[in-house]
Amino acid sequence: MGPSAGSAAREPPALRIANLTAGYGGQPVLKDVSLAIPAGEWLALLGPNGSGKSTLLYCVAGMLQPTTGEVELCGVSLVRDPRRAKHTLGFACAPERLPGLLTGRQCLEVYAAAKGLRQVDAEVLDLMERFAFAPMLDRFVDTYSLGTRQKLAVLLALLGTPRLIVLDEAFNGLDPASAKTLKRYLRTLVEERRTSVLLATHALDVVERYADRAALLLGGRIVKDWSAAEVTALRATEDGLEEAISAVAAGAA
Amino acid sequence: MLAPHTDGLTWVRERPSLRTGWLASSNVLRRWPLLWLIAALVLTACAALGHFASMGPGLAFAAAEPILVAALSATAFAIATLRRRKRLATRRPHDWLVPLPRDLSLGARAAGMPAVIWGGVALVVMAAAIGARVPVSVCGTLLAASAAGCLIASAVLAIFSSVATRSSRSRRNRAPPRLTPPPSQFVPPPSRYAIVRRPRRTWASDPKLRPLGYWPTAQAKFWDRPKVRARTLLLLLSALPLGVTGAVALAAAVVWLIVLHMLNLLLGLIRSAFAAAWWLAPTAVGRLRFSAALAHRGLVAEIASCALLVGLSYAVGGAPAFHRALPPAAGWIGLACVLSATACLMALRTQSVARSVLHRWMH
Repeated sequence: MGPSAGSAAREPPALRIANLTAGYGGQPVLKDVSLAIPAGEWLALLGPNGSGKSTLLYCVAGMLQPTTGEVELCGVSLVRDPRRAKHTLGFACAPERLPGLLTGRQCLEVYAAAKGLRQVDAEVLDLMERFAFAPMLDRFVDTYSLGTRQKLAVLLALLGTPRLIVLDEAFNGLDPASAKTLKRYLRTLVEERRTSVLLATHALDVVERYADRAALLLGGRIVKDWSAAEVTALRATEDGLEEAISAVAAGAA
Repeated sequence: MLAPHTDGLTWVRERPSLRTGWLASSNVLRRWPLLWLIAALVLTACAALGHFASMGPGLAFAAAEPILVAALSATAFAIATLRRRKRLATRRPHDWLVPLPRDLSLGARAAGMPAVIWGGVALVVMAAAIGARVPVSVCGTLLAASAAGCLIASAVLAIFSSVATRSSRSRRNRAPPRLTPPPSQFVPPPSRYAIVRRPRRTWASDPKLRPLGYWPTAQAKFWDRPKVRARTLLLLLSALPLGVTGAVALAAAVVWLIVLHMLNLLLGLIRSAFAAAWWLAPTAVGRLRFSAALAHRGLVAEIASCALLVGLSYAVGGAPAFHRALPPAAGWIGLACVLSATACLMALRTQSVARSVLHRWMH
């Protein structure tokens, strides 16, 4: 049975970003971005290359300090209390940033310990079996293919049953069976555990079939936020999200 | 329709590897202007070395034997070119310029970098000669002899290469076409020199941060791989003065191998601290736990290496050598502890631009 309407209303959003500005070396990439993801919602972040999607995810993961603005994870400020805020976060880093000189098993063990877990979640071990990742466990990460690295990055993000899962192009390089397994697993987490998902992606089919909401980032600003109802309506149309994005991008230009 | 370029630079434009090489190097210099200063400092240091180490007689002796200089230059140039040619041929399937219609031949591309290196060496020798107040004629003879050696080597290589190409073409024309196996694309991964440890039975039921300690030691093992060791050892042995005994040369080689490992361990600790801090940034790992887990294995290895050095000193030179070796060994351990702790704390503390810039630079 799900939580009551009253408790759901009181529940803080899994992610709240307010007036966020961030960049590299004095060059702003994100400009005054505001966004909120309530508990139990899958938000797809869309945008062309270089629009600032990964930068936004780095800010949410605490890997990049924003110039101004606020990031809250489950009501806890990531700027003021990063340690407490990060307990609710699962972040899948880019596959090429995984430590090549550790084995997959060592990565899982170290990440679980760093998150303060008493044990590696049984569900993650189960998903590892379904990904056919177990034979790769004792090999060095730098010998992995892109897809295998991607699986490891996702497994690390799912450790410790996070309330907010942040994924950057997580389906790149995954074989169709593993991608399907992961999409369904994430959808189950969203529906049954009220976990929230923030996925930066270019795969519009994933957005149309699995996401609840979608936001379009252009030039470091959120220019369009499609609500759950709008995404459902777009699913029914022939051109769907692709045409809608083109129309918004043309309008913004 | 675009009109083709017909000026004097057309030949260069049609050789994309030449253009990309030029653009890449000019971009590097534009991006890190500090390199100019470093180059100026190196040349000044060479001039000072030439002056204080009285390199004048040595350079004059070399200039008196131009054939020897030319032969040495030719050998070095040919070896460097052949090695680079082999490497380029291995990487050719992944080369983004291959699909373009025209480019320099593989041999010409391979000779480019040794030619640049020759230019650098020539500058260094000239700086040393200026410092040692060597006459211009001596300097000119040295440069001309070595340039002649390089030119002769490149001409010989070009002749051999053209003969080999012709004979392979004629073989291809005679024999029916067949699929040739692609060249080996195997590039040894860094972990080839690191060992996979047997996992703990309780890794999933009681996860520990300790395996993080394998990262810096594996990094040091990769940097300390046999190829690198052999090259540095060769340099060390060739720098030993004539007349030293075999025992001394062997002792110097052993000490050098241990010192190289210690240096690589320290650098590995610093580099992996930044990379690991970035990787673990989304977790709530504490500074003390992170630093202890990352550095403990590397520091134990540093202590063991220092103990080995001190022990060897005692075995060779008795108590006096032991007393001489002890303070630097203790100092090194202290330095390694301070530097690795500072790197861990800095890596975890300095979020934002400074760390991301440092991280990019280190990769």
